[in-house]
Amino acid sequence: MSYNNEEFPKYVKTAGKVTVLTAFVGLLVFMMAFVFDVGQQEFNKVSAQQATTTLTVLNTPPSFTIGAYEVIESSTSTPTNSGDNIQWAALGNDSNGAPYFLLVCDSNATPTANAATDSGSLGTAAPDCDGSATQWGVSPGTPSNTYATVTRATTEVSPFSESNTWFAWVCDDDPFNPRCNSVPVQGLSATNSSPFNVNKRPIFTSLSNDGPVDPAGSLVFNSVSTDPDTVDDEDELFLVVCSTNTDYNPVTNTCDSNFLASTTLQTLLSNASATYTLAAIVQDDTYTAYGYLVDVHGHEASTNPIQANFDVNNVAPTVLGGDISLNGGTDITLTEPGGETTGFTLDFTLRDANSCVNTGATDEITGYNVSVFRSGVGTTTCDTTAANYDPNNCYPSGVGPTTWSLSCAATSTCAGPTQDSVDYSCTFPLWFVADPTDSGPNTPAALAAQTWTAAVGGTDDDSATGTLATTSSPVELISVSALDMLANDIAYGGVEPGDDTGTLRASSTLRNIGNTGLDQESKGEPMCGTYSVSTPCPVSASSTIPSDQQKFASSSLSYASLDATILDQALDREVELDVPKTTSTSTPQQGTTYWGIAVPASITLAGNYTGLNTFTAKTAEEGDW
Amino acid sequence: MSKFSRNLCVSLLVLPVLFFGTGVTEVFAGFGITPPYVSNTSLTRNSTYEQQILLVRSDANSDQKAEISVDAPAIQDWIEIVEGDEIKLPRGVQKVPMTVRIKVPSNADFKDYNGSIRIRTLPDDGQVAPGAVSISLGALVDIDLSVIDRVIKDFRIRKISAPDLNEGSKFAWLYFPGKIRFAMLLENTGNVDISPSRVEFRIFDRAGKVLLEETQNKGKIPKVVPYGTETVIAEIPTRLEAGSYVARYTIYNDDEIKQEGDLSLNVLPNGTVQMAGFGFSGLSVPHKISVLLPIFAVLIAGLYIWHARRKRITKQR
Repeated sequence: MSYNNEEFPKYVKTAGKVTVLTAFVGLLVFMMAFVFDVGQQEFNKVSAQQATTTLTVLNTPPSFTIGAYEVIESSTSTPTNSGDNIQWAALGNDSNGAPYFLLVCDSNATPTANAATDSGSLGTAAPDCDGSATQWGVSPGTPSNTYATVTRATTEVSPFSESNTWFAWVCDDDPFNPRCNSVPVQGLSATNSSPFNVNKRPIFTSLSNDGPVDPAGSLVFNSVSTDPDTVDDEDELFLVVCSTNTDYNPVTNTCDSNFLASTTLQTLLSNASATYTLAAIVQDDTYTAYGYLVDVHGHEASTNPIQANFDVNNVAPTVLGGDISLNGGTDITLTEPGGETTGFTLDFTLRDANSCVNTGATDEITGYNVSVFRSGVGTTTCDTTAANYDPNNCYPSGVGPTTWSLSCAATSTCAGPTQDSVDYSCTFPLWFVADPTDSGPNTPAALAAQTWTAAVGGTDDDSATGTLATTSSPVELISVSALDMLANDIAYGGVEPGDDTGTLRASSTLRNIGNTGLDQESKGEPMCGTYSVSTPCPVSASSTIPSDQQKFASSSLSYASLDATILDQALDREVELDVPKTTSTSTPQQGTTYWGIAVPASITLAGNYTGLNTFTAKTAEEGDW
Repeated sequence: MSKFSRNLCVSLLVLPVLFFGTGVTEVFAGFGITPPYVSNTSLTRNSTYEQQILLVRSDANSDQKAEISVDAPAIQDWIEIVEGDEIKLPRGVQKVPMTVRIKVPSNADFKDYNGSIRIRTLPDDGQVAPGAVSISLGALVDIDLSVIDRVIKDFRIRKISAPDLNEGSKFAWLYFPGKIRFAMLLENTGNVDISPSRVEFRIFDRAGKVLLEETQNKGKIPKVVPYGTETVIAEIPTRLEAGSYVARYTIYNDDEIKQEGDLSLNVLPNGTVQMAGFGFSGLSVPHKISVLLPIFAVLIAGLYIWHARRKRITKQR
């Protein structure tokens, strides 16, 4: 490359020369000043003395690379439970590469660094806090640039208090000049900084419960308990109750198994309680319970556990109305006139909240009380006791089998303590006098408005008797009109032809062996010596006595009385006997009909005459029962 | 002939008729009927009603027969004794049924009808004690009928039961509830077919204190014919888990409560009882929709594709 200098401006042509001249003038000025002022004195001294050099290089203290901090946060919200360790850690650096110590004290008074005996023993002489301070701990000698840790087990006694300040230093043990860093550290962040907090154990004095309690009931465990901590108020307390003393887990603060109850309120500061709701089916017995008190920080009382056993009451068996079936829902029909009709059924289920088996592995439900009755009588009267037995309307089991042959048997088996019921099937008889409740045309309205029902109660192994329950499905008891006659014929005695008995001197006695009031209708066949059902009497004036020669009435009238009813062969004629409903099983109500006869004068054939009169039971009008 | 002999002969001729009663005061075998009536006050034209009457004896140690005669002039033609006019009462048989069938004609007047049926027992061999006025026993059946021109919807629950059931089960995301089979022995006391209009269950804990579920029957309950008595079953869903409960049931005839009460209800772990639970009908509405929606979507898509292909084929032609 070449330049054509002629083409550049004039000032460019002189630039290099000015610079060189300026530098040269500067140099001359410097030389003159040095020689005549500074240089004269200095050069004279040097030239006058012998020069030796000494230097002491001082030990420098270690420093924090990462300041001290609480390894596990210890604060008011998450204090360190007494007995647990509080731990600090820090990363220190010593410029000499010597080991260092992490020292934690309760004040910021300057600690004392101690000197190792020689340089070969570095890391053995730990520093001490100031004499007026509490030393929380000091780490072993720790190589530079590795973490140092300090661990201290907490207690509930001095020097520990609920809140404890701390200051941390890093120190070395230089044999000649051991030193600690000058500014202590109190943590790195809010969660791992001074102070640390020690949580004291709650105080658990006693435990009780408000038992005994019924199955499905609520049992309250009450503790006498407090918490000694005061910083940031007392700690909330929790009561945990297990049924064993081996299942409490101090990590989870609950029972791994056999859990009964725990405090649910989050605000209890003393006397924590816990409510246990029992299962629906529980055997009556004494049950073990162990209470564990723990504060909100999971710190257990030193007196854990305290035992407070509870009792479960014996409760009486119960019955539900829908579980009682009287005669399978079928109306009761009496089919044994004058006697007991057997084979009626009663099925029910007894339930016991103490289960069907007791702790002795025998039956919990041991018996039953039963009554079958007309609804108008009610369980207040027909209460299963013998005194209220009445064959007309009340059949209580208390009367015993010789009077009322109630027979029951369990039809289900008890599978275990979680089963609460036993089924029973019973059969029973009813007497013919049992009051009807059906809606027959002549049934008294007061009876027709009622039903027959059954009440059942259970008894258990402790002789507890349950309340009687009545069936939801009552039934009707059907009317039965039935009769028999005290004698099987009518004895007129002897009568001459053309004569009559004078009065209605013969009689027939109707017995009411049903459960209604009765009237009687009668009709009769003509009489002759050859009568049988299949061969009626021939029409004969001399050997057949017509039916209408017989008369009857409810009293012994004169044969000629117009009040006497004339017997008819075809038509039933009623006599108002008005036999009331029978109420006694051994003495049926009776009605007597009086009979008389006239022998027509045309009868010439002497001898015994045979006939057949029919007595028809007619249900009496309502008012005649 | 001496005077004594002559008088004796006259006496034998003039006093020929002598009635000798046995005079034995023994109890005659009793006889009765139950019920002693045929009663129905809700008959309609063309309806048929049957009622059984039991003929009962206190002592069945002889063969007898019962003669039946109907005495009801206005309705004689309506009444039929199913067993006939003569019913055997065999020895050893203490009760014998007699069925009275009432057939109401189509032109029957709407009014009350009364009458009676007479039953007379006789020795089956026809023999009676000679030389005496023997006694036969009988009973009277009152007939009390009403023919009406209005509908009566009524019934009576005679018995209820709820057998143990399985708890509900899950299949995928679908929950099939348990099925309570609530059995009711229902007697139709009206004159039209009938069943409970609904059955409601309020299910409590075992102690009967805490209400856990309210539910009612799904689907229709079978009907019972007039004057009939049958067991009908209401199927009621429950979502309760296995356990022992108290159910408070209410049986309705329209708005009228016909019966209510408590009964125990045992829900067993699924599979314990060999009884199927609810199927699709038991699913909740969201679950039903979740099943039906995809099906409908596929159907609609299928129809669309089919329609589109048909359209294309038609164009090609």
